[in-house]
Formats: sequence, C-alpha cells, structure tokens
Amino acid sequence: MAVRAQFEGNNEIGVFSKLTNNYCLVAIGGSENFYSVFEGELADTIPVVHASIAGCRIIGRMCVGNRHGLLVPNTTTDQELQHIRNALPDTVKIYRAEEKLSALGNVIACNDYVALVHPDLDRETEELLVDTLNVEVFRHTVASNVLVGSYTAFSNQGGMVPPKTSVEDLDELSSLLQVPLVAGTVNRGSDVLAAGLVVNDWMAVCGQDTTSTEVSVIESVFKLSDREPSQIQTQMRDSLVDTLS
Amino acid sequence: MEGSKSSPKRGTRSLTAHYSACLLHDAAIEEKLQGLTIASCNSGQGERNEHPGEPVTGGDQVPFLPEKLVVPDVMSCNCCKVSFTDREDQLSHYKSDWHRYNLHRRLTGQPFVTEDTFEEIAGDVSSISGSDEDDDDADAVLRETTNVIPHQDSGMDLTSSPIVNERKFHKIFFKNALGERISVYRCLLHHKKDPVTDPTELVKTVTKLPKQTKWIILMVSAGHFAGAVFHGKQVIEHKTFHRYTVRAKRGTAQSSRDKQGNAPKSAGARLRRYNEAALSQEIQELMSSWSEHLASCHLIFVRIPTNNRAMFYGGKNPILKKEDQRIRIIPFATRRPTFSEAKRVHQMLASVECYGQDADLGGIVPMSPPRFYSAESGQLEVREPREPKPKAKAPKPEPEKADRQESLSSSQHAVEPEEGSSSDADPDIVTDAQLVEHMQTVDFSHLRQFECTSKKKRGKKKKGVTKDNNAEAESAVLDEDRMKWRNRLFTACKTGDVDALLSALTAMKDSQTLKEKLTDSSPESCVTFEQQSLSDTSSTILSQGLQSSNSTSIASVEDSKNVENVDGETSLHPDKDATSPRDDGSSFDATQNSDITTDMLNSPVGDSKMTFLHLAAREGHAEIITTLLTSGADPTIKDGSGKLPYNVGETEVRNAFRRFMAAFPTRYDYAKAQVPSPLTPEMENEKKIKMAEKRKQKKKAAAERNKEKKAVEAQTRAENQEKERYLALSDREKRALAAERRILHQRNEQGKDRPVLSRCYQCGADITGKIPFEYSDYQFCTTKCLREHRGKAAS
Repeated sequence: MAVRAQFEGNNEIGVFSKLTNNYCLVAIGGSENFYSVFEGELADTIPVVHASIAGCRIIGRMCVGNRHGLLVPNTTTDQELQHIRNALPDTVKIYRAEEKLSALGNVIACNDYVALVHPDLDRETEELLVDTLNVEVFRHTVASNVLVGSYTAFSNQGGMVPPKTSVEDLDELSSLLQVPLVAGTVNRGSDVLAAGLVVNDWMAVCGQDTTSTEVSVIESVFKLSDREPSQIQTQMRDSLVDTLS
Repeated sequence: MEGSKSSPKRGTRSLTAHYSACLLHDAAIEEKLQGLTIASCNSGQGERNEHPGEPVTGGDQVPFLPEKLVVPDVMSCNCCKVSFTDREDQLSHYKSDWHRYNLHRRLTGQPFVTEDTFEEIAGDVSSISGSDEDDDDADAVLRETTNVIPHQDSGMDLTSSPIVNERKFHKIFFKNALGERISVYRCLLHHKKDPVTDPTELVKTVTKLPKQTKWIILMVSAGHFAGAVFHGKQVIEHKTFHRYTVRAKRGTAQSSRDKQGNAPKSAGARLRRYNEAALSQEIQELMSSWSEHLASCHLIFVRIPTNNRAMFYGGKNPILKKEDQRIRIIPFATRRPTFSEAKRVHQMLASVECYGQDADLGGIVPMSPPRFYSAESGQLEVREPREPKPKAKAPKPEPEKADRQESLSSSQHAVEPEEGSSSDADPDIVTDAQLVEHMQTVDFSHLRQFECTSKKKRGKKKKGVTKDNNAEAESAVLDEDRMKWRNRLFTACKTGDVDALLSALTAMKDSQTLKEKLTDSSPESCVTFEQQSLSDTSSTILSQGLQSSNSTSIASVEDSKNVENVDGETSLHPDKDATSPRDDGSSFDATQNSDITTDMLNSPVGDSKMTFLHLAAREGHAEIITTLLTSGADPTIKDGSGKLPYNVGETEVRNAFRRFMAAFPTRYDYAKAQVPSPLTPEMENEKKIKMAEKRKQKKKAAAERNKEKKAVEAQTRAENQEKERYLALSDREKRALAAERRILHQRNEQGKDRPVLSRCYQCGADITGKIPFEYSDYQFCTTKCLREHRGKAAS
C-alpha cells in the first residue's frame, strides 16, 4: 500500500528518507508525524533508523542502498557511520564511497538486483556497488537526464520513470532492469520521482500532494495494492486448476 | 553485433583515403585554388535531411493499463541502435566504452556512432571512463576528430538532439577546377565577428591567401609562451619562454588563486606572482621588438587563455588591439606552447586539404584523418589512429604528385622502410623497395669458452695448469673435490670430531703432494696427462675412502677403466702416508703444509666469512682448535663481523689458543690474533693448586658461619621454651615466682646470702627464681628430675 507523508511541510519525502526491503533510514529532527508513518508501517518488520549523513538531513539523496548493503558518501562522519552500523542488521554491508559525485542517491537508482547509474560514475564506485549491493550496474540516462537516481524509482516489483521518457526508452530500460516500468509522476505532477516517493517491495510512501490517480498508478506498478489479485489467482491459476482437475 | 544497423553512409570514412594536403605557400597551390566554388557540404548550403524530433510521450498520454505491466522481450539499446539476442549480450553492451561514448554524445546532442566508427576513433585508447580522462595524445586525437566529424552520420535520426540551425564548421569546403573537394580553415578567411557568407567573396579571399603568408602565432599557457613569425614556410623570428607560474601539482595560476581572496603569503606563492609579472614583462618586451612584424603581418593567430588576456589586451598600450581584425583564434586544440607546437599550428592552418573528387563525396562533410607533427621532417604526417606508435610514417606527398597518388592503405605504411619518412621520397619508389634476405653463417666459436666454464671461480694456482679443455675439465673436478673436502672439514669442526678432521686433512695433503709430483712431470703426451689427471682424482677419492675405512665404496664410485689406472697410485699411497708426519700433531710445520690445505683452512666459509677456526671456537671444541692451528689455520683472520677466533670462544677455547701459543711461541702473530699470554703446563698446575687452596678456605669460612648460626638458633630455641613454660604457669605461680625473684634481688642488693626458697622435688637443687618444670604441684629443676620422679611415683 502507498501512504502519503510530509516532512516538515515538505512533500519531497524521498529526500529525507531511504526505504529498502531490509531497513529504513529517516532524517533526524523531523516531526513525530513523519516518523509515525514509517514506524507504524514498518517497525514490526524492519528497523527504522533515525540518522544524518555528513550532518545533513537529506539522507535519501546522499546514500544508496538495498537489501544487501548501504553506500554512504565519504563526507559521512565516523560517528554517523557507527550509529547506522549499530542500528542496521548485521547482514547489511555498509561502505563509504570515495566518489566525486557525492550525492549517491541522485546518481544511482537500484533495487536488489540491478542499479542504474550516472554515465560518469567512477569505475571504483561501480565496483563497490557490485560488491556491496550485489547488483548489475548499468550506465544509462533516463529521459536524457543523467541524474538517474533522482528521476527514477524502482523496486523488485516495478518501477517508474519520468513522463518525458519515450516509449522505446521505457522498453529498453524495462528490458534492462527486468522490471515492468511505467511513466508517471508524483506530488501532483512532479517528475522528480525518487524525491517524491520511497518504495520497497511491499510499501511505498509518497508526498502529501500526490493525487489519488498517481497513488493508484504507484500501487499498481509496484504491486502494492491490497485489492490486486494475488499471484495464486493470476499467474499460478492455470497450472493449479490444471492439476486439480 | 550491429552490422545490420550500420549507417547507409558508412563509406564516408574510407573516402578519406584519397586525402592529401598541401600548404598555402607551396608552389602547387595555384593549381588547387583555381576555379573555386563553394562545395555543397558546407552548413546551410548543403542539402540536409530535416531530423524529426523524437516523439515525446507525456505522462498524461500514457494510458495506464495494468496488463501492460510486463517486461518486454525485445532487448535493444536505443542510444547505440543495436538489438540483442540474449541477456548476456545486453549486459556486456551496457558495460562497453562504445555505449558510454554514445551516451555522452547523446547528452551533448550529437548523433550516435557505429561500433566500427567508434573503434576507429578510439583506436588504442583503452578506456574513456570518467575517472581517467588524462590528457594524452590519443585522447587529444579523439577530441580533435570528434570536432570534425559531427555530421558524418547526419542522415541518421538524431535522437533528442537540439537541432542547430546554422552549424559552422571550422573549415570551409570548396570545389576546384579539378573537381576536387578542398578545405581551408574558416579563420583564415574572416574574423569571427565579421562573418562572410557571400560565396564569391569567400572564393576571392581564398585565392588571395597564398600571397598573404606573413603570419604571427602567439601561444601562452601555464607559464609557457611561444611566439613565431612566419613568412611562407620560413620562420622569420621565434621565441619561447617558460616561467614558473602555475602551482605545482595543485594546478591553476597563482593569480587566479589570489583572485579568490585570502592570497597566500608563502615563498612559493610570491615566486609565482613575481614570475607571472616577469613573464608578462618579457612578452611585452619581445612584442615591442617585434612591433614591425606585428604591424606588417597579415594574420595573427593566438591561443591565449582568459586569465592571460590582460597580458596582451590590457594595459595602457596593449600588444594587441581587441578590435584588430587580423587576430584569429586557433581553431583546434593545441598542446604546451613550444616552438615545434607553433610550427605544427602553422602547418595545420596553412594546409589546404584535399578529400578527393567532389562528385564522389556528395553532401557528406569529409573528415580529415588525424595528423601529427613530426619534429624530424618538420611536417604534418597522417597517422592511422589504430597504430599505437608512429613507426612507419606516411611521407607527405609533394603537391604535383598529390593528384596521382594512390590510396595510402595502412598495410602499405607498414612495409615502408624508416627512410621513407623523408619528405621527398617518391611513393612509387617506396612501394618498389624490397627487402633482400641474406644468409650468413655466424661463427660462435669465440663464445665456446662459456660453455664449459663451471660456476665456481678457478683457483689462481691452477691457472698455469689449465692449458686446454682437458685441463679445465680437470680443474672442475678438482673444484668438486675441494667442495667435498670443505664439507668434511666443516662437519668435523662443527661436531668436534678430531679424528674426522685429521683424516680429512691428511687426505687433502696427500692429493696435494700427488699433484705437485704431477706438475713436476708435466711435459708428457696428452693422453698420459689425461690418464694421470683422471687417476689423480680417483686416487683422491680412494685415499678418502681408505681414511674412512670404507674401501667397499670405491668400486661403486669409479668405473672400471679408472680402476686400472688407480692401481699403481694406490700402491704409492701408503708410502706417502707413512712419511707424512701427520700423526705427530706438533711436528706439523707451516712450510710443510701444502698451500692448498692452508688455503682451504683459511678461506672463509659461508655468508658470515667465518674460518674453520671461528667455527670450532664458537662451538667450543678446544681439541679441534689445536689441530687446526697445528695444520696451519691462521688465528689472525677476522670473520665477517671483524671478530678474531680467540674472541669468539669461551675460556676453554681461549686456553687452547694460549696453550698453543706456549708450545709454538713464534708460529703466528699472537699479538694480532689477540691471544694475550702463553699458557704452559706449570702455569696451569700452579693455577690448579691456587684454586684448590682457595676452595678449601672458602669451605672453612662457610663452616664457621654455619656454626655461629646454629648457636644463635639454639639460644633462641631455649628462650622460646622458657617462655612457653612461663606462660604455662598459672597466674598465682607467676606471682609467687615474681615474689621469689624480688626477694632474691633484695637480698642480693643488701649483700646477704641467697635464701633457698624452693627446691627440686627430685634432686633438691635450688630452683629459687627459676621457672620450674612441674606436674601436679611438684616442681623440678630439669625435665630429667621430673621424669625420674614420675617414674618413681608410677612404680
């Protein structure tokens, strides 16, 4: 399911939080309302960590992570790193990346299997991504934009790209990332998808301004809808019925 | 992979094989520049396909259909226009440099390049990753070529690139009377601010160009300055300077750092500031000396970075005036300003490039191959970008031959000999040149001595003997023997086995005497010499075998032929053994000892340069030391760490040295060996006696001390017993006792007789004032009395 939230009156909640299948980072100093959205949904399943990176609250844009690991920029202080390390599960690898493009969240978009990165990302960072996040790395642009991390949001179930993406590019990306993609917006027409939306395999949080149409698109592409028929009813149905008969 | 997707105009690149260039000041230029018309390929004039913009799909136009949410089967890269059959192809493509290159091109609005084109552009550039964009030659080539080729694939669809209406190339293309397409740099024809578009005007300017060849080239960068005045191909004046102005390693000029505020005051910063001013000053001076050239020249080409502008355009009377129409900016990348770079720039600018027949080229903008300036020939040369090193250089064609010159394929380049790089080499001659193969027999006989040289150095002693190969082989065998002896000696010294040492020494000496005998009878026939040398070595082995009483091993060691020869020798052997005075160690003499034995004994062993004496001393084998010393081991030789054998050992070892000194006071230089004094048997006896006495005294003293100690102990024990007995008394008795003592004391003081207040119950002795031994109210003087009393009572 997709829920709406606001961080201190700001709809760009993707800037202030990072959501993966294994953990969730939220910026420190927000209101309890904001935290309660995440904690209410996630606290039973995955840790919700209040953190800052390099003294900033824009953690969603600074770091990149998935189920396997977390990469933080080299500006992260030791104390912050230690705090995050303590709070995250032991299976999550945490590394500091020495990368010129230090806003890792803006230049890298990833799920648990693939990552789309800025064409100019360092080779070393690429290797680090492979090692830490266990992903295939692809250098590409999205709708002629190099900030792939800002403009796309995708999980293992599906993904969204900005509306300016051509159908061919959408197909190309979809075949590359091996997840179904749709073009769409959040926050009443914003194409900076990753800023307005954080998503994992079973939950999405989007900005307060997101319209219900946008929410419905998000829910269906990320397969979050409760109403959506389960796999048993769709893909497995035929084979099941075949065996039962 | 993308073969099916290649551009329909892919042939463009191969057409440039007809490429040739001549210079404006060459004589043949007249022919080239006749009947010029503007070529059709220049921008704005050529027929160009209008590129329809990529259809953009708006977010609201995407009909959202949940059933559409599937991953498409088709795998393709829109950016590089390739499709893939399997996932692996796709993955590898997205990791390729070609893809990244096309991504960059797409972002800068340029069309994609096919893989083949990319290979040609990139050539030997291994990686164009963002992190390692170093300014090497190959990269420079890449940049230069990309500047020139942008419309190569202009027929293809430009994906999402903003279309520029009036694209200006750096070159203008003309068609001449011969039907060739030629190009000159646009900057030669007009100033940037004053563009000429009229074709007739352009043609007129071009035809005038060969008469206006007085050019000045000025280049400044990073503290380097290069300036040159050319007239035609002549260099009239030139000058280069270098000043240290750019911060080392950090980069950027000092002045630009200072502009950011908080200017550093370090010595280096001051130095750079001063140098900047000095460079500016030097340029000013130079320019004022070149003022007449500046006034008279036709064109001035400059490469001046922004922060150096002030040097030229600033000040009260600037060197160059901003509004001067003759000043042109060099329209291609330049390297560090040097004289040769200035010459290269001149050549580049002055070259009129010819791309072949205009009709063949159609509307395509031709591309010139990358050219490199060769310092030796002073001319630009075409180099195939794939070749990593310009080993075979293409000769620059003479203008008159340019027309009939055939295509310069890269394979032809490869067969050209090195001399081909001279400027007037005829291409026909070049292709006719043949390599003549020579068969030559090389004599290696002078190298033969290295074949049979053994690893060991040959001893000086044997040099005289080694006259031919046989003798050398023998020496090798002897070396081997020496090694064997050495090992035996070493083992003996290490383990302290005197017998083994003695046997080894004797064996060595025997073989030595045998050899001496041989050398005395040297001039014999070759065959006998050989036999004897063989028997010599075998007898050595034999004698060793005898010494170690292991004669059974002989047969196995030797082959049957040798055994025959040996027989005579072995019979000789025991005599030698008998006459040799080895059994009496003291009778050994330095003169008697063969050189080889002493040599070996005194030669250092191993890395630490120890002699056998050192080894024995360290191991503490006094007997071995005596034996070694008697057989000629020199105690004055120091080891690797500068220690003498005497200093290495313990007292016992030292005494061995001193004893030897006493026995042979003149044999060695004992002062040098640091052996302090001789040690005779008498001295040793004396010492022994002294030692015994000392020991006796020590024993006595110890006994006395023991006795005293015992006395004290007994006293304390008695006291303790007394105390115990006193404490065992009841308080009333203690008081009674105290009273008795007081009375006794009083009586004593008054000088009266000692009264007897209490007596022993058994013997009746006076126990007044003493602590009695008691049982059941009876008191006794001693325990003896008590026991008797008790015994009596019991009975």
